[in-house]
Amino acid sequence: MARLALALHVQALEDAVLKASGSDLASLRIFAGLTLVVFCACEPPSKGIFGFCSDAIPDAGADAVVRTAPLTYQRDIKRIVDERCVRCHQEGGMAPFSLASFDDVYRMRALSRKEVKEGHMPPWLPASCCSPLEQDWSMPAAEKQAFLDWIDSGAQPGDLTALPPTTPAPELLGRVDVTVTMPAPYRPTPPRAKTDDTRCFVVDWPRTQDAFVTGMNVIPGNRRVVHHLLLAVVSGKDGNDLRKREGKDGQPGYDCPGGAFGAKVTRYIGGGVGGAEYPRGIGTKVTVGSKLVLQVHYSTINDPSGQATDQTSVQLRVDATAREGKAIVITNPFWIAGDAMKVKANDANAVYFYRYRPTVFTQGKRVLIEGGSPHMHAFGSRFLMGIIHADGTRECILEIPHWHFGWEQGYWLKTPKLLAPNDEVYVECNFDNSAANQPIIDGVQSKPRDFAWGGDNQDMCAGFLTFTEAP
Amino acid sequence: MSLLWQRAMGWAMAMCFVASCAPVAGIGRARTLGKGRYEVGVGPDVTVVTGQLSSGKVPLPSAQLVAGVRYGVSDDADVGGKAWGISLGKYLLESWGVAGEVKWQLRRAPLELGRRGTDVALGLQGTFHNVVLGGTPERMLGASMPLLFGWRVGAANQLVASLRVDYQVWTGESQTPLALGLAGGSVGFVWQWTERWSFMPELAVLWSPLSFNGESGGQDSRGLSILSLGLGIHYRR
Repeated sequence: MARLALALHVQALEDAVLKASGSDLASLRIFAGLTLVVFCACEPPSKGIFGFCSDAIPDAGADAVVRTAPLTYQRDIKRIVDERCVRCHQEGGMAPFSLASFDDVYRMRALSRKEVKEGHMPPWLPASCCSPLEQDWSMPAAEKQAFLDWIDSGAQPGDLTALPPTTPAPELLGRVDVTVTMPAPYRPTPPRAKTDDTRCFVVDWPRTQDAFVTGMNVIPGNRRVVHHLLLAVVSGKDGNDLRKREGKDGQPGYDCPGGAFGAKVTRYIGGGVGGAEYPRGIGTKVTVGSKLVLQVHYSTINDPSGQATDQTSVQLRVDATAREGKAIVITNPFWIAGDAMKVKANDANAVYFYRYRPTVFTQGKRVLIEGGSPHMHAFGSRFLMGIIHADGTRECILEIPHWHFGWEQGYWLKTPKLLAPNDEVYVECNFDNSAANQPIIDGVQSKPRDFAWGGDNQDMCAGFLTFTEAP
Repeated sequence: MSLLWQRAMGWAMAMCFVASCAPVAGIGRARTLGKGRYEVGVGPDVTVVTGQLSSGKVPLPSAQLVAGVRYGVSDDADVGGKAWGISLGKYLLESWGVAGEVKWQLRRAPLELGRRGTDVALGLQGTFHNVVLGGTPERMLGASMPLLFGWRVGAANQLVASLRVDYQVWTGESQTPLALGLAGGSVGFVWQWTERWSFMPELAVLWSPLSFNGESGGQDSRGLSILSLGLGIHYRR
């Protein structure tokens, strides 16, 4: 239809001018024809222009391993589980059950096997072939194979009286200086027939001097409904104005649909769930008298009763000085309007990408890309961010070969990447809108339908990069 | 991330603002030139594009220079063209566009002093507009059809009003073509300073039901309006 409409446009343009002037027929036809060619060449392609590095790597763990002795929990598996799983799977941890003892692991072995085999656990999404990342808790192929083999061979305990000492899980923040919490429990109330609800809560910045947030850790109050959180800084005046909006519907906080805070955000601190210390002394400045706004994105898709409540907290590490990190957003602004990012029903591999020189963010300076965050929703299947240098060479920043909506987070590069003034940044999102990848609502799997950029049962494609000025 | 979303939405709005660089003012008078006559013109165009986002109305003002030429192919038909452009740096923002237009006289009011009447003309304009944002090109092909009404004021001045519909298709790399319908009108005044020189201030307003999709979408992020004020300085022979 688009092509037809364009053809009609060009024909109308051509006919109108020709009827009026009756001259220069050939030139007009060439102009109109070229215009049509230019437009039709811009149909969304079926693949990106960057290439996924994980496509070139054979499936890890496919090779058979010959073992000379049966695997046991005591000798082989406890170390793996302690290092890869217990950070979250412990009493009071983020995960819904513990894996801190042999009994725990044995009881959950069937589910653990499935999740590890399918690559959902540990929830580390980036491909290792792209860029080395800080706090990489992925499970190496050899460990994965050992874990699966151990379960398949009967999950033998070994000598439980001779267990190696438990390796304490690394702390997400080496130091917690400030903890901010929603003022009261909130029950997500999405609009009728919707499952997404975005709620904002204003809290005071408790420090009496300007300072830098150098790490954050989001502690969801109810993981069943909390998808992710955004933490922003607003001025004291704006914060007080926002406070007047709170509680008007009898619940704490105020509605902030569309991701809008309702006031000018002076700084963005971070988002996601979980968290980390920022590397290399990077921080976000917060001035005295500011207010913080916790914007919590809820999804009630796993709470059909609609009765779940949440009171989420954010732990912050704070320092007096830091290197200030700034952000670049990579997304085609046209995708946000109308159907410019249309994904058709039953299309199992829709591809959208965007590239540009982010001069508006970097002011034409050489900058260091320090880290990045992907953003897609539940139809996302693969994600890629990279740099296309001015000489045509390409450098991968972040690649997610198997996207999972529930594990969206930010990542820090082990080694920053240089972005020169004429380099382009690139984002690519792949979407799976097949029948097998539809949401299940109230026990019924939805039917595929066309969608575009948006929230409920739609999707987005954006990459966020954190940069600092290059020395 | 919301700050970034705001930037992204601002960018979306900025692109729509750039769309207005295809000037919506500048339709001209409701009376054709006459066979063999021509007119050249230049003038500033100030535009405010306002998008209705879920966070509220976001107005974006802009200004640019437009130049054009028109020729009378018959007593009842003109053809013309115009061009415009703006550059804020090679890798920040560049945009330019060209338009071809034709105007038919549907009804001609008497010229004699003391007699009143209404000029009626139908215009048709085709537009190609190219925007390079951060080195990435975006293109627009558009059509506009104004129906103009003109009333003589004094000896040779003319009050002009129009109703119009516009249609634009935007496309770029890895993007589903974005179709955009607009409707509105304009009002302007032709001040015939001398026999050859005239000035025409013109105000045009267009509206589109285009939606801007956010986390929640819905009616609160629907609607794009374009308000454009142009001042044409014309020389006629």
